[in-house]
Amino acid sequence: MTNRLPVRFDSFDRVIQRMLKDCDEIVLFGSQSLRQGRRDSDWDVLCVGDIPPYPIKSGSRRVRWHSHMFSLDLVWTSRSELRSSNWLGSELAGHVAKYGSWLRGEGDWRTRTKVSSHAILAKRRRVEVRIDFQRAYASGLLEPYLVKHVTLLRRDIQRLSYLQNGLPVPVTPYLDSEWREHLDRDAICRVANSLGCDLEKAVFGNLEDTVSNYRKG
Amino acid sequence: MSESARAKIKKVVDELGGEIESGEDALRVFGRLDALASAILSYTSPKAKKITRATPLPEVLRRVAKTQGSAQGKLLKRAARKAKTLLAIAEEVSYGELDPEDVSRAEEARSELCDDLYAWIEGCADDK
Repeated sequence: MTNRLPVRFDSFDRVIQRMLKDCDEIVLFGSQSLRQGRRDSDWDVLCVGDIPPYPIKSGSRRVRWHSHMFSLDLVWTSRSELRSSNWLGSELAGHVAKYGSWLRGEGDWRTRTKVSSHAILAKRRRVEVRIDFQRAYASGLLEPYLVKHVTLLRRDIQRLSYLQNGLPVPVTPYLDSEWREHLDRDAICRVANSLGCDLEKAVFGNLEDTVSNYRKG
Repeated sequence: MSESARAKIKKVVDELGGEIESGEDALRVFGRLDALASAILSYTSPKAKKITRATPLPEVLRRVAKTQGSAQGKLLKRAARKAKTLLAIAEEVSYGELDPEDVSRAEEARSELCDDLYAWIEGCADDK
């Protein structure tokens, strides 16, 4: 994957420049910045400054902002926080450092990111919640809900695998193509097994059972 | 609606409990609201097995409300609003935003959502 600036249509650029005029750094990240997103995917933007830009409410760090042409998922962080181990060790910092496209600023912090044990633990807890959900509800879900939650589980296990290997987590479309093309599937399934989850069965077994029940129904 | 269908939906409603105080709690809420949407669709929509999209709970409740009598429909519409509030707060919390006010608003929305759904399930027993 290479970093490529998205096509910056006028309104996107105008909104970003106006909304984030006081920010020192503006970074596009996520699938849109790599042109791997769907047309309706959010544009993920990290902004760095002393105060959060106006769409972000006081005490908050993130907001979804919608215009009639596009949606932004805007994340704000302060300049002082950029130097903290909490930020430098986070999943988001690792991802932005590796895959982000800087629209403003230099991102001198990006060479200092390193996946922290806290980030791994946080992802592991998310995976455990998703596994618990599968155990409790998968057998009774209608197919679209089952597909959705199995996919979310599989992606989070892939992300955990990256973090455990000290690697930045790539964008979601890449995780999906990695799974489709069987890249590192054994390693991903081993991570799932270590958490008591048979991922291939969750992905294929449950779905096959459900689809077969659908056909019978 | 059959007694077993009502019991199955009620069981999922029973499990909606628990405060949203962390990102993991928010994830549990997302999952359980989807489980509830799936259960309600399964037992109220004759075309449930043909659906192709994991429709969010508020939309499911609004859709099912249109098929119900006035009183039952009102309960579901109100439940849809509460589910929307709960989802919005869970989304904020899943981003790592933990505002104590939101925690109590979420608890209020969850509790009212459950009350409305229990009342609706009760009402379904009378719809023979």
